[in-house]
Amino acid sequence: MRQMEAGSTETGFSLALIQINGDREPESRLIARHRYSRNCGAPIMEYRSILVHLDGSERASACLDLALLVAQRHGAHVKALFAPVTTDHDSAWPLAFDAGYRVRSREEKRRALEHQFFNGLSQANLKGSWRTATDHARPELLALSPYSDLIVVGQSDPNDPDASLSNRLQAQVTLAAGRPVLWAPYVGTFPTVGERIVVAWDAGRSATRALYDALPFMRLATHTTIVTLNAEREGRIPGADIALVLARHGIEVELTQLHTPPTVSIADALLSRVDKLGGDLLVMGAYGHARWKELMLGGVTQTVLGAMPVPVLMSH
Amino acid sequence: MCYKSLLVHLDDSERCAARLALSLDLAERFDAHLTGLYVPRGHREASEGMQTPAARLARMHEQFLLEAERAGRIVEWRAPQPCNAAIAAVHARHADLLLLGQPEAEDWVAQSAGGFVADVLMTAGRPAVVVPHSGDFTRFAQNILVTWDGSREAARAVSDALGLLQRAECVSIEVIASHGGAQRAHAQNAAIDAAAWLDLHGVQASFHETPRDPAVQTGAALLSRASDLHADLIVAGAYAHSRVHECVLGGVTRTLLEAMTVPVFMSH
Repeated sequence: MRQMEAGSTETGFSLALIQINGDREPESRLIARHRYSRNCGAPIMEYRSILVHLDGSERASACLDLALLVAQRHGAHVKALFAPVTTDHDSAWPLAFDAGYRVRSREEKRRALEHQFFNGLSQANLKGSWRTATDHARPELLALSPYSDLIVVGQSDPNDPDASLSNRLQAQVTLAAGRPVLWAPYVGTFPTVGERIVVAWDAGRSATRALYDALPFMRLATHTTIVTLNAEREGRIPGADIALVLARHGIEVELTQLHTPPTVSIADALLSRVDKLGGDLLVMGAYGHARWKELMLGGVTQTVLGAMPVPVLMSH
Repeated sequence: MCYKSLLVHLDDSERCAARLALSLDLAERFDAHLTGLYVPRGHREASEGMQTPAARLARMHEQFLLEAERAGRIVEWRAPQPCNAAIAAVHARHADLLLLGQPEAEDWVAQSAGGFVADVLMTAGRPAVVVPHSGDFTRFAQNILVTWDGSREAARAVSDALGLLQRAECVSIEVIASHGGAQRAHAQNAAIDAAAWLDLHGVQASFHETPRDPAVQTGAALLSRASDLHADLIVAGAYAHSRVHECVLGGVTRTLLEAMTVPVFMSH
């Protein structure tokens, strides 16, 4: 292990580069630290208004819990939108079963969630509002999203008929809302979110957006790691520049590099790194491409969302 | 939100001085680090006459350091060689806020889609203050006009501008909507919702809606409203339509970029 101090043109900064070669994966860590950190004057952007989407699926309650947890941590106002996803088999219901049963079961779910929402608000001493959608889920969500600082959605359980098929709705909202979207995985519980943050950084536009949108989380986190993805070494440490930008906001970060051999996908390597670092929040840019004028997520994004072990914050 | 890393675009034009002065003022206000990114305009080389590109670069570098020393700010000079909009965007991504110059008339001729400013706005993913050709800005961001249409770009711009909005004396939200009943009610609701959202961030804003006049472009209506209110900054989402659409049909972003008289805060 080798440690060195890298020079910086600015006063009040120290950059420590630690090279670790004992590990199987060679990695270098850079810690940028502002000597007068936490003395930043006005706080960086904060989450003041959180929108949570509740569909009719079984995981809606866990998604609501996650939103309330984040809201409590940031002292935010919570807007809950109950908007069941219109699935393809909806039209088949009246033929096959009692249509009234479906309406009744949704009404029961709504009542249970609304009760949980107001109960959670009063317990956490938060303010919020409830809205039951009258239209389809997508336009309702997009109508509320411009007035929200963070949108919480749930990853679809492939075995749940009430969840959006292959995360289509959530992906569309992520790409079209222009706001950060926090995805709650469909398995597991999350006692903490944003204590140990892992940021996937490739210096791209979406990654930049995601990084800045995650600043409120980073400010409260105990540990933030920036993972640079297959960055070329051109005599400089990948990610050092962005670490300095964050250090100016009083945020201490650690940098590690991720180099994947051609046989391993970036998404898998990233997820295993998150696991190794003990992260409880992954921040990444959502890359999309227009296919048949429909918003679709790109490859890495899609894979991460298919198998996410921890909540993921995405921006486009 | 406070801006801690600012980046100002420097070139060979005379307006560079005003842009630099404004960026040093902002750096002082937010106690921010300022980076000067030197990207000369390619097609202006002939008009500059005698001086070689290297000499112009050296002159600008000297001027930048001198002004910064006068203002007592820590600055950083960057002149990547060669430089295009893509490289500039990478530099721009490492800043909280950019300061760019209004595209000049000849830029619209050379690149009808808005050239450098549009490229950086679209690919950097960071907000920018676009500084007009003329006028001086002794008062900046004290009286802000927020243009609101409920689009994601507008939401982005407002959210990115919170640092300035929170420090402003007066913030007005402007919605341009049709006379018709349902649309008007919708516009009113949008303005109220935007004001409520800003209130959560500690910004008290007034709101106002202007009926859409078919004879007046939305961008022109916004600019005249800004001058009525003596606004010293306009906050607007950039390129809610595609660039091709803006280029062919015109649009709010293009009108603002062409005809601005006060600085415009833009985000895509």
